[in-house]
Amino acid sequence: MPIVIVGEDAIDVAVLEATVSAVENGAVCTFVGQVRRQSRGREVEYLEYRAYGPMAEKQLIKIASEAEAQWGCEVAIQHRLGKILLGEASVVVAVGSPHRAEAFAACRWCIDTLKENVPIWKREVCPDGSFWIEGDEAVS
Amino acid sequence: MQVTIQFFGHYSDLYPEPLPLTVPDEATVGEVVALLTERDPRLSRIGTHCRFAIDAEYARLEDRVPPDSLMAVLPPMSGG
Repeated sequence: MPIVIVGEDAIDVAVLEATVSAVENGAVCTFVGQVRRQSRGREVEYLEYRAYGPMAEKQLIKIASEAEAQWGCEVAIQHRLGKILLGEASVVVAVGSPHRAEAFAACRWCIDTLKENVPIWKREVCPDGSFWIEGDEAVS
Repeated sequence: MQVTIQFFGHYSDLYPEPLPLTVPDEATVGEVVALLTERDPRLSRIGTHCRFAIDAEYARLEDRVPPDSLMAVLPPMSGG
């Protein structure tokens, strides 16, 4: 069973990695998404993430389970909500598998699919206002 | 029948609270979308620009909305 966490607590990358680091796994691949200063030419002060909580959890479990089945790996995903400051992690995907090719592939697929299908939205708070990010659009 | 609509992304600024709505029995997601856009022009793009969920599962426009269910309006997402 994959580990999936959605909530306001700060993400501890080492703790999440430890959950997929059984000694059977020769590879652990971790993706960390963090808050960037620049967005579409604007200076970002901080981000605020909101989710459709119950559906986001269901979708993350679905994604992580599919990856585990397809690549024979172990997956742990944590997404943070609420106010997140520059440089802080908003999402972490950790994948453990016997060999690195599967770990890299599963990790990449999980973060790409998460961005597409997990109902979470960010609002960029900038000096000149705040904007909801909806796909490629910024809506004030 | 009665359903409840919940909005996300910038639409949640327009409707911060879930919206109770009376719709014809056996209405589809697409028919509920048409009712919403008729009632509020600010929602005119949701039919082409959003995805929808019923009780926290993705739904297609032709799916029926069960009575008393929660239908979510999901603009393009930006998690990660």
